[in-house]
Amino acid sequence: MRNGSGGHTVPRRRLYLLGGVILVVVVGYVAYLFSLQVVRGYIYALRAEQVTRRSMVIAAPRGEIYDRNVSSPVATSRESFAVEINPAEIRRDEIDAVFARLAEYLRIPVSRIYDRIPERRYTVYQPVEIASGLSFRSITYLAEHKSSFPGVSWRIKPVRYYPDGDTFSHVLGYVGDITPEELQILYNRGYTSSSVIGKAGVEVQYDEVLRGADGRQFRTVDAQGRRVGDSGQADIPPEQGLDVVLTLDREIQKLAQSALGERIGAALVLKPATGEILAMVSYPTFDANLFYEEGGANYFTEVSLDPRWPFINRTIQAQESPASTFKVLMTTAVIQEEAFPLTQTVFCPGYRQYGNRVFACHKQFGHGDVALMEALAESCNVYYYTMGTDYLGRDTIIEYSTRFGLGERTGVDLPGEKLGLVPTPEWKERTFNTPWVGGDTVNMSIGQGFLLVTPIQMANMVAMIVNKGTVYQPHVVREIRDPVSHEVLETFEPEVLRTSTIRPETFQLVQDALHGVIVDGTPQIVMTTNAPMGGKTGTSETALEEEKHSWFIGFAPYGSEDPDDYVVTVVWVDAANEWDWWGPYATNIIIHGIYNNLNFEQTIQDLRRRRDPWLWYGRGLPSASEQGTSGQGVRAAGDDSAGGA
Amino acid sequence: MRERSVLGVDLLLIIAVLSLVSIGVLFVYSSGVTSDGISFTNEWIRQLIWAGVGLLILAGISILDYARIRDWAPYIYGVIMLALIGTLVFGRVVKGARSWIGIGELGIQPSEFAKIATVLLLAAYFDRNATALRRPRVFSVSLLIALVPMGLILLQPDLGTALVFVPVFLMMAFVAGARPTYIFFILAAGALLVVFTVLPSWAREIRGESIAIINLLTDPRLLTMVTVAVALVAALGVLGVVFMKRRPFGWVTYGAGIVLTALLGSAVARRVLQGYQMMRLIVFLDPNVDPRGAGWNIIQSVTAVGSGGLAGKGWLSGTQSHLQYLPEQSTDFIFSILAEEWGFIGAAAVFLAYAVVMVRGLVIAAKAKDNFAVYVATGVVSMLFFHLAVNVGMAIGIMPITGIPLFFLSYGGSSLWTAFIGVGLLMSIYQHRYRY
Repeated sequence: MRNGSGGHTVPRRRLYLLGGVILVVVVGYVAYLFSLQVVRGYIYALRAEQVTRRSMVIAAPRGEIYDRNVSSPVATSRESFAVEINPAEIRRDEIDAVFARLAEYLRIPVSRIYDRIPERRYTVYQPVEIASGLSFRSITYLAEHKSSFPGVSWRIKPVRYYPDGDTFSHVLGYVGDITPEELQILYNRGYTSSSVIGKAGVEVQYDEVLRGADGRQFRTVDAQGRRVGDSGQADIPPEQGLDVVLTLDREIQKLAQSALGERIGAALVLKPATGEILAMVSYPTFDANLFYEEGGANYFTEVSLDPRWPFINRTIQAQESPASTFKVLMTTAVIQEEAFPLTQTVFCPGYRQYGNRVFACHKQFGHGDVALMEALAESCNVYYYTMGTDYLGRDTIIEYSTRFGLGERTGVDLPGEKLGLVPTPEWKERTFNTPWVGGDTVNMSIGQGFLLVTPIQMANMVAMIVNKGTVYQPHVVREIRDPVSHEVLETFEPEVLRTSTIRPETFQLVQDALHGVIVDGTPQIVMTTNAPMGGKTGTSETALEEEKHSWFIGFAPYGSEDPDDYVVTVVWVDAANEWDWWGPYATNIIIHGIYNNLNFEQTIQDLRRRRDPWLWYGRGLPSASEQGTSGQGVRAAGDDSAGGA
Repeated sequence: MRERSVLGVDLLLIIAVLSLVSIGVLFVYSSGVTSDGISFTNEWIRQLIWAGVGLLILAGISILDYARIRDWAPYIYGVIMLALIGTLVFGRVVKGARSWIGIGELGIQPSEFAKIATVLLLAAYFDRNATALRRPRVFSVSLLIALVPMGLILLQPDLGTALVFVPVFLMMAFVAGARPTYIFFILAAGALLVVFTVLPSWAREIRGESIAIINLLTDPRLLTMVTVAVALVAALGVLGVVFMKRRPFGWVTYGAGIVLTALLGSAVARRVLQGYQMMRLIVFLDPNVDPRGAGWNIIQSVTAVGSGGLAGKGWLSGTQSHLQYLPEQSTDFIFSILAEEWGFIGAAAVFLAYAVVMVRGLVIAAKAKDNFAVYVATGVVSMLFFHLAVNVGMAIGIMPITGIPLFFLSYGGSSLWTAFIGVGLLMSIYQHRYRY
């Protein structure tokens, strides 16, 4: 009105410009929306789908493990419970009280609950696991006091259970939650971050057989993770893991375990006709059941930090000098190479000088004139020094070591097997930058020096002698079976690992010699069993004069026509024990028990009844539980009788 | 244009507005429904009531002669400013901002109405001083009229609503004939201010490293030195103009002034802005910095909009919204639900209706019988435009999350009534476009 009758004075140009800006922006937005919704819409449609659909893993029941008699499992699953908290179901002002109450009941620090459920998750409808391995009784209490524990729920979470406790630990191993490092390697093979995976032994070696296939449950969830309905996608049911049957025999395993007792060492029983391992014992051992219980992590740490290394499976992971047991290999070489007449003698004055070094025999004043059979029975070092240096030579000894499989993995179906070591001039040059000297050959002739073997390699050596030239692949798993129908799906047939061109007659002579060792030789006082057997002791020196490892390798029954009858035993007792001479004793018990089909207690009784020399020495044979306490008197006996070097 | 008016009413405008409000009610309802089909709030009923009352207000204002409103403008402005101050003192804190005032359940957001009040007073002031607007003093006074409510709202703090005053003022000043250099000064200083404010946080959160030059902004000692240096340059420019009478010196002052304003402003802004607000600005640059926290809204909203496709998932069938992935569904992110459930077609329809309202608003401005009416119409259109651009831009991920409602559609009485009052003013101008 004030501006006269011609309307306003604002230039229309500016209004048009404004309109133009507005239209450009509107058109730009619509174009962008077109690109977002129509052109790239499918990307977001997919993303929306993924965000709203969540899948839950349904864990597959792990397969069971049986011993060779398939009577009852040696590894199974035990019902156990896990407690979870669904934080969004607890009133905000009650949350601290509920956490505190639950922590007190479960006897865990309340900080653990706060760690697992940070405050930003208080509104999330997703159960968080607080504790597992709980008994039915604990859960009953929670169920009865449900009103005091809002938002607290539980679910069945089976845990691994080994009914025989620590008996099969090193063969079976144990299981645990998958680690990020393991997942990185195994991701492509269907493992997920919540997988339970074998960590040692058969549990890891046959993990893919035992674990089955996890199922999946799909559901649509809202932003808080609350289930809002079915996804329309069918659940994938879990596939139960397959059952594994071991070659081990529960009775023989228990016998061997008791025979070795609480001595650091290993005991191995092998069936040479098939390569099946009947017993595999390593001490110290552990009870994996305790890992899965409340507070199991502490026990696990304790075992891990034990300076005696209980996780080591000493039957395949201990590497020691074979000592006098190596004379068995030397004997084979002498016979096969016809290097020295069997009846010709070597004079043993108690030592042999080589260059400016003196190598002693274990018998101070010498064995006198000894031929091969006598030398093996008496374990005369001087005889073998002479054979090694003068008649066989370094290269033949190394060649025979290789022929018997020393310095090579046997390929047993367990993880972590050690190589051992057969020293060669090249190896010594490479490692110590010094040449092979004559003294090295002398030492190697009696199984000392750089030579290292594992108990399972020694078992294979004996198996070759027993089988007269053939070694079957040693293994611990016999069959894989269907978990429901128990139908055998796969059988591990005996597989030839190694054959030898050594004449069978040679092996027969070696067998005779080994039988002679038992009848006439160093361990005759110890070997009281009625089983006809052959064997050889070994006492390897360590840096400390007092500490000696004790070996005993043997087989029974000597002279049997049926190859299925034979068993090979290897016992190795670490020098760290006061019981370091125990090898022959343990073998005596094992062989006697197997031959007469007796368990450990019956074996001990039977050996006592057979006027066992331990009785003769005035002390009873200690029972498995007494062995640790009544040691000294028995030790005196051992020093004289079994100390063949 | 006569043929489109029945009883002197702009039919196209009213149809567009009614369509938008109806769509709004539909999606306020949709946002309150769970995936099980259970409606868990009565927001849509309230929205209907507010829309009904709002239409009466709209009708009342459109009958009213805006000339009278011009006379009331200073009083309306005064009352609203007092209400804003009262809000700061007695207001209720909702979602981190003290923006509500009222008794019990009933409450209003004075900051919404402050937009209209400021438009009215600015229009009246420009009308009175139209020819003098080229003078810096008059321009500064008009700037002050916009800055007072803006500052009061920033104190709540409500950054998004406060920002609305900037484009409204600039557009109105532009139409009222302010020098383009003044307007450019504010635009450039504002843009620089945002850059200076965000840069340090950006370097920290996204680049994950400190960049030497940014220390100029964060280290108080360096900042003081830089500020003094720029101020000196500006002062030298002033001296040059005064004593040497050379125009280029004026440009030096102009440029230095822009930088100086931005520097001082950003120093204040970094202090005033809340951590979460800064984070929202940062996540706009890269939502993946904090996908579960501040970036969640952007990611979820863009996913909702994008997954709508051409025709949408159907009303009440959106997954992102009904599974509660989207926050603030009925207010800030109502466009996301609409775009998810009605797809591109629905989104384009909303833009069409909005374009009709804004273009009609400018046509009404062009036809208005006096300058006050032109300014008011421009202010209302700018306000609607800015809200549309920022709110939708936020929903589709091209604007930072500032939390301002989409007029006509978003749930909320205050914003709905503000929009209706704005349209009422447009209609009043249209009704009274002829001189009697």
